[in-house]
Amino acid sequence: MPMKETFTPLLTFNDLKAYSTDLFCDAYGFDIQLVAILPPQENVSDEPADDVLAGLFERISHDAKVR
Amino acid sequence: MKSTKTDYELINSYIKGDNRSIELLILRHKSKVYSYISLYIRSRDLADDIFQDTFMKVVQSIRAGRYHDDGRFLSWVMRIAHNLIIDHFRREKQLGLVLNDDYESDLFNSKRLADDNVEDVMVRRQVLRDVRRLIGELPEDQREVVIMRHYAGMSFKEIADMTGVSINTALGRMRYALINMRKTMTEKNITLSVN
Repeated sequence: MPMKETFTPLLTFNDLKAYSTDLFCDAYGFDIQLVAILPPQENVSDEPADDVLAGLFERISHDAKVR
Repeated sequence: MKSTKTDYELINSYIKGDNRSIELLILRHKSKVYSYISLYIRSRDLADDIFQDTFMKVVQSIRAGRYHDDGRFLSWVMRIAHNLIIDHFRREKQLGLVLNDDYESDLFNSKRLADDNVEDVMVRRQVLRDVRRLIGELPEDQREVVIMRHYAGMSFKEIADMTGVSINTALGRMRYALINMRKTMTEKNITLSVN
């Protein structure tokens, strides 16, 4: 049946193309089970030390000059 | 300092010559990328190197015009980090290296842990240890799927592409990973929670 012009799309074509497998994942309940087993990302998150970031910014700056 | 600009807007600003934009972009995603690397790499020094190399590749690709925005900048960065991690393990295997297990001490000296109070640190240490123990018990292919899905937020299509398997295989690995993790938790009496 053709869609009415006034319908509200819940998913765009790109959503379906990129994330259709995630709909299956939801159907299997994988994400819910993962959340139940593992703590969220913020609870196991770690960060690079300030000197690592400073070193990275220095490398980027130097690389840009060389090129 | 945080920026209200989108990732793509920051990339465009950087291409136009605003060097601060790339720093803001890195600061925005540093925690997710570093945590992802840390789940695989035991040595903090090595994790630092891979973190830096990841963003060097990101910046060089952006400069060379090889980044095409599809609204998934972080996934693209994770893919680069993942490839560098795989390269590292391949090299290690070829050289037959046995690295010192300095993981625990590195973990406890991390910046994030240093910012919390003593009680939080104790709980977080235990949870981090248990998460890595639990994930570490999984076969490599199942571990990858769990980390990529839960901690890197990748779609199953991206996971399948990155690991070179079909989507059905990736979904199957997740199914077995969940079964195995539950089994390990029961056998070893592991409960993972942070209040």
